[in-house]
Amino acid sequence: MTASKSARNTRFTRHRRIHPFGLMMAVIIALFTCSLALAAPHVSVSNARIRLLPGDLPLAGYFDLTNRGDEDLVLVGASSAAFKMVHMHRSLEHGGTSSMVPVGRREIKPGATVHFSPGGYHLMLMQAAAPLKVGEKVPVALQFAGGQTLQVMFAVNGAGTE
Amino acid sequence: MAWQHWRWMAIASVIALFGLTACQQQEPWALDNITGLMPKLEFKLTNDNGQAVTADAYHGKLVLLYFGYTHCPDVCPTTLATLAQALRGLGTDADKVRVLFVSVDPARDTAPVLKSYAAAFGPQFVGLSGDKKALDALTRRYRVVYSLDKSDAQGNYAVNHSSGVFIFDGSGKARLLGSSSSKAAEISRDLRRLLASG
Repeated sequence: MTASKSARNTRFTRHRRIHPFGLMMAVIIALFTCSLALAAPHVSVSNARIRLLPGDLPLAGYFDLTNRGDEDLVLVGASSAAFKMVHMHRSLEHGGTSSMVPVGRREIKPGATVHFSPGGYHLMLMQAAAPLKVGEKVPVALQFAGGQTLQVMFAVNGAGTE
Repeated sequence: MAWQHWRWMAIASVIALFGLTACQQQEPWALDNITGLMPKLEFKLTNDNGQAVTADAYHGKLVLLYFGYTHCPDVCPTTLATLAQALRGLGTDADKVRVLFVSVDPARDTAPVLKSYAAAFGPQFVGLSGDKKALDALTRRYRVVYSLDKSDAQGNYAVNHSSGVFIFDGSGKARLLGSSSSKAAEISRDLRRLLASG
């Protein structure tokens, strides 16, 4: 027990002595590669925008997302440092009445584009960390099944915009 | 010969006139025509200055009546943004129009909240609300429904509400019905026509 422990310590010490800088770099590169692999789904996002309302009312976020990879993608949510809560929602119209339902996942086939647009799927962004201004851009991380995320900058537009 | 010419011209004119009239009668509104199908504008609510108000306050204006709530992130601001765009299409005539946004969520939509919300869409936008009795009297009048969803853990809740935009002429008569999916250009065209006829 003690022997193996000391052996391990010796090995570790030897490594440290030989390549302290190399080991650190290896760890950094490994972490970086790992996070890149997780964080880069093959998608393109356009038209990302948030419609600003007065006060601290819940806001809607819209975007168009195309799956550029060759595997199915599943969007499972979003988060943003600029908001305490971000939910995926869908507006529905039934018999002249509008309602809203939460959405847990949205699949995107390879080559397909999904639209988060007014009157349909949208992000609901609640409780802004700080008041937003028209013209600024805020980061929102789109989360995919499997742990991949994609950071997208959303333009903040005025109330009277689409 | 000259007489025959005149006779044919007269007949042609009559046919042309009939044709024109028929065209005018058939030119459809972009929105649904509800003239004679819905009662005239009438309500007793509170405006976004906290004052009691009735439909009489808007006599002489074209009124666009829409039901919603300010915590509605998508459909309500989308509809109001479309109406704002339609009003911009009217130029200076936009001042002859008022958009009355009636909140069916009076618990959260106080007068100050409604005031800043309505103002964000334009000077022609007015926020109105009232107690349940006053709201129900108005929603029943136009046969629309609304309901509150259950609150989540944080106390947030969604509200189900009518997507209709009821349009009244300057005398308060119900004329047209749009919806949250109506296009700004169509609304603009119909409003211009109503302004021209009134």
